[in-house]
Amino acid sequence: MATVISAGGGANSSEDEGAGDLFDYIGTLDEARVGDLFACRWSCLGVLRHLSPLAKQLVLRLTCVRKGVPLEWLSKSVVAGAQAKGALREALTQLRTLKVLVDVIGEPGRVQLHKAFASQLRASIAAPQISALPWQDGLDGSRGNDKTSGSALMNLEDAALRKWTAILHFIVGSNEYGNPGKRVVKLLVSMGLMGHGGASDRSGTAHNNGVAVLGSSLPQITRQGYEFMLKDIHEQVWIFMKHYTRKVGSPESVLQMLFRMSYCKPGTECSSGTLDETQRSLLGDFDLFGLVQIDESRRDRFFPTSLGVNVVFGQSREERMAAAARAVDLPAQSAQTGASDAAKRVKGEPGMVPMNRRATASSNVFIICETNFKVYAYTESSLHVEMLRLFVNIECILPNLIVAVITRSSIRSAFKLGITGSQIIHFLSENAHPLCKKRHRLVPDNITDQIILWEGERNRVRAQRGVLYKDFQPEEEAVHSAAVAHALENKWLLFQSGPPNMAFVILESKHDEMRAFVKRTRERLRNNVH
Amino acid sequence: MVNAVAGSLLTCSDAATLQYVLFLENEGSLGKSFVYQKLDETHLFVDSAYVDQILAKIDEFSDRNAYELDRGNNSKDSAKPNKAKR
Repeated sequence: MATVISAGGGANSSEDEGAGDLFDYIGTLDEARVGDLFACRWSCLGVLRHLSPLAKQLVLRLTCVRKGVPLEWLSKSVVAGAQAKGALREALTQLRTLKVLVDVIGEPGRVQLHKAFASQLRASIAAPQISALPWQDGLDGSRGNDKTSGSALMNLEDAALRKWTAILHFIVGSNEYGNPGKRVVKLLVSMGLMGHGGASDRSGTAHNNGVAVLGSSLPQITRQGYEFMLKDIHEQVWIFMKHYTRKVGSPESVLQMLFRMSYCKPGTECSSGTLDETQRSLLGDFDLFGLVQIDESRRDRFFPTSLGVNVVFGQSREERMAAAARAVDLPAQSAQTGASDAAKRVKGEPGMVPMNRRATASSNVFIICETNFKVYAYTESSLHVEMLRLFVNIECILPNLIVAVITRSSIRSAFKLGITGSQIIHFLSENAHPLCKKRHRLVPDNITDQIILWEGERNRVRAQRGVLYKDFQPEEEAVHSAAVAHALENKWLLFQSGPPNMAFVILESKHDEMRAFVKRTRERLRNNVH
Repeated sequence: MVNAVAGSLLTCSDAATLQYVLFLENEGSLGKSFVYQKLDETHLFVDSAYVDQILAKIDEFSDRNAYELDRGNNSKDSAKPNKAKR
């Protein structure tokens, strides 16, 4: 049995490429692109705001220093002690990854702030009054069209949320909000969140695929799609944005746009006059997702929504937990607040806008899992009904409660879509009822074990294409071991069997190279003998 | 003389599964011999053209041997085999 479990575990550990937030992404950009990004003041302020308190302090100290400073100079600015040293090292790594701090060329051991970054910061300090909000140029000065207050803002937020929810509903296959439009569907498919006939690579399900495609032309949720659904709303939006940064030629203009948007106030009127070509086309898509709303009467005006404003600095689940933990040991942190206060003075922090309350209220689902495979889910959202429906048999739906049962066939139908066992267990335990959480019995062990076993059952046999080398004569043992070593070294080897029947299997594509190697080795050995 | 054969490596999670594949081979239920070589207790080398059919047969086999509670009449004792749907 142990092997079955490990097989299931192995399949779960495969990570998708959606990991990493916006700042991790900036870390992967090359020098020129970062330079372009830092040409925008809002991006610089956004990056500054993201830095750790110590890193912020270092940056502000260096802002007005135009020459390179020795690294030791920076280490002098923290108190002695191992803890402070560690914090400094972390801060320097963060600054270097984001390319805010760069080495001075030709002067080893000396560092300076990124030129463009520093000059943007200096400009902000010197003249904070220049356009307090982004995208105000070209507005007539009258602010009568703002939707920042009262019912107008509510309407804006509701419309935005409806657009976003419609997309989520569509992904899980619910018809409540209808089809979000061809453009969005195409995007979802190209991101791999949805696919035609499931993402399963198991050929055992090939028959079902044919039926699924014939039955409906609508795409279905995939494994990545399910993972996407488990994430929080900000992470979801960022996954979309990440897709855009890969798709368009200039990722920095997408990032600039997001940074600018994070300094807007939801509902303020903005002008799209200064946007470049890429950004203007993005704006149309942002409107589809509900990140902004384009004014119907004047196409060159738009209103950011709180969904859009929070893309960059929206708290992720971990951050919220960290914030709660921080609140407990506040005194320890107070020493560092000096730096962040200074950062605040450079530019008023963009307000973290609370998400629409209705969105958060309906996003809760409380699940109780019983050892007899019954599942009770307290929720009012049809989104959760659809998410649960992917892996349980629903017995009844009451106004605030779903009663369902986990069966082998219901779990297997989820596996056929490519959803993994660990995703299902994660969903059940993440959304466990608070009472279950209190008793630390999130999901009964027999349920989790059974799900893993069912998954293992599907993976009883794994097939890999390869080439089998066999029938080595006893006198050719040296050739055999050299070939195996060569294959192992190049990671071609799929399997090797013990001495009695000398045989090994390598990747199919490496057959020609291996054949040449065997021939070469044999000749070499023969020459050595003679 | 060394021989090289192109095909597929089947890695089975346990010896019993491999024995079932060998059973399929001996029974001739796929119409033709497809196993090239048994490598060890959990590894087989087979004809790639038959991989899909082997996987389908194994799925069918485990479906045939799965039992589920019949939720229809709410009696917990009546367990009945889940008939393969294919």
